[in-house]
Amino acid sequence: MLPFVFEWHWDIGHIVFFGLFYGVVSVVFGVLGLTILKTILDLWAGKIHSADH
Amino acid sequence: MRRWFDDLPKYADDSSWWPNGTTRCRPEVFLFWLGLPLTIMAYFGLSAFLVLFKGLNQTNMNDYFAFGVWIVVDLAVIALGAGAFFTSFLNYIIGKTELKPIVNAAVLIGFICYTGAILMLGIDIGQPIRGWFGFWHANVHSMLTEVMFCITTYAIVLCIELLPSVLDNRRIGKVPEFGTFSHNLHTIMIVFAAAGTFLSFFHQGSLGGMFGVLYARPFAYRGHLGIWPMTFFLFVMSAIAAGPSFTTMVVMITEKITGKRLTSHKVKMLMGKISGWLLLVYMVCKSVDTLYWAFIYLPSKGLSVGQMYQAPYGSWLVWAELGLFGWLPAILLLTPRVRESYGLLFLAMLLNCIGVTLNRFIFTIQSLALPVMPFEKFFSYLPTWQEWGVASLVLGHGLLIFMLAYRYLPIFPQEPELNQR
Repeated sequence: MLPFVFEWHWDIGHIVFFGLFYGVVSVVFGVLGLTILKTILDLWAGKIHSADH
Repeated sequence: MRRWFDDLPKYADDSSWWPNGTTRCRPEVFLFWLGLPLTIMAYFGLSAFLVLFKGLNQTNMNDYFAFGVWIVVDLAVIALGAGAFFTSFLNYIIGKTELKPIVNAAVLIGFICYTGAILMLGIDIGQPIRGWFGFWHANVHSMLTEVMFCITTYAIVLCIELLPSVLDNRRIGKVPEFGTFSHNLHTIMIVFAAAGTFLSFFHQGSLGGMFGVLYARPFAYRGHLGIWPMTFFLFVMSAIAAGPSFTTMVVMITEKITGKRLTSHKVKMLMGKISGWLLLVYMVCKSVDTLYWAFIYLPSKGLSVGQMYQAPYGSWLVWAELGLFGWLPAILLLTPRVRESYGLLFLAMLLNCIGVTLNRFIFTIQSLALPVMPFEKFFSYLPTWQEWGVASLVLGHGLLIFMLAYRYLPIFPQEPELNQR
């Protein structure tokens, strides 16, 4: 549920509940995205980690 | 033709995919044993088809038993899978690096437990394609909404935590992109461990809280600490006490089946000690909670303990849960000589895991068996074969994933060293 849908209410329950949920989801996917980005940059810079290296 | 047969073993040889320094059984033997989980999953497939096609009349659930064996198995595997978050928490956040040899196995077992539970719940909700409604039309006052959010998000976290093990496969790890991604994931794993700990704490607790807020059912209702009933904390404590035991037990069973040593006994003893202390704390709290409920709460509502326990759910369940599968494993796990013995350690851990499963059974089934109206009688429930079929998914799916992971992924880093001849 997002804040612009009709079922949303700006009460403490929705704010705390969804605030924590979206917070955790943002951290998880944000860190995963940053890790993918760092991997691309590492590969670009030639910093390769593999079983052969 | 003869040449083709001669060449066959070469093509069927998958040894280059095995973890470094390990040996596995021949591919045809492995394929033969894969038949076991596939048979179980076929049983699940038939049962799930019947339930989805014909409806819940295929089950023995009714207006009294809205929860049945699926929820019992679901709650039990979620508790037993708690070894993943708690071992990761101890290893990555507290810095208990002695647990590193078993953390991959804990994550794998957690992944199996959570994905199995989610797949089974897909059948339980009756309309799997409407599963996303819980997110979009969320009831923020429901404990189950919180459970749903946390379990699905934590399952994603477990996939990410398991990813480095997949990418570290001997062949996959040689691909520079995968090897580098795996290396970078390892360095940032603490963030995922922290997110997993947060999510697990709340959904383990909310599963218990769900029962503790049932004020019309005195068997389950408990007093609150803040906004949370006592069952919230008891469920968290019992899960973190049983999770490490279950992880270690699965490793021990794998050792017996494969005839190989996968982790040192020191690691197993440490897991046993952690489980023992956590179980002791849980048992003290659970015993105090039970005494308060039996001698203060129930009489205050004009009820007695005797009314809560009737055949087939008699008072023997209390003695079994708190005594045989509660205090006994706690004492055993805290005894150094027991932990030193492979067999006794396994027995103590088994009793601990049975205890948490029994606790989830009692809260789910017995809570619903008790009459809530003066004209109602005490009910009992037995699942149909279709219900057992759907519940068996966890076993079939777990065996399949664990067998594949054991064969191809470096789940046990100590294995090459411990099996040197």
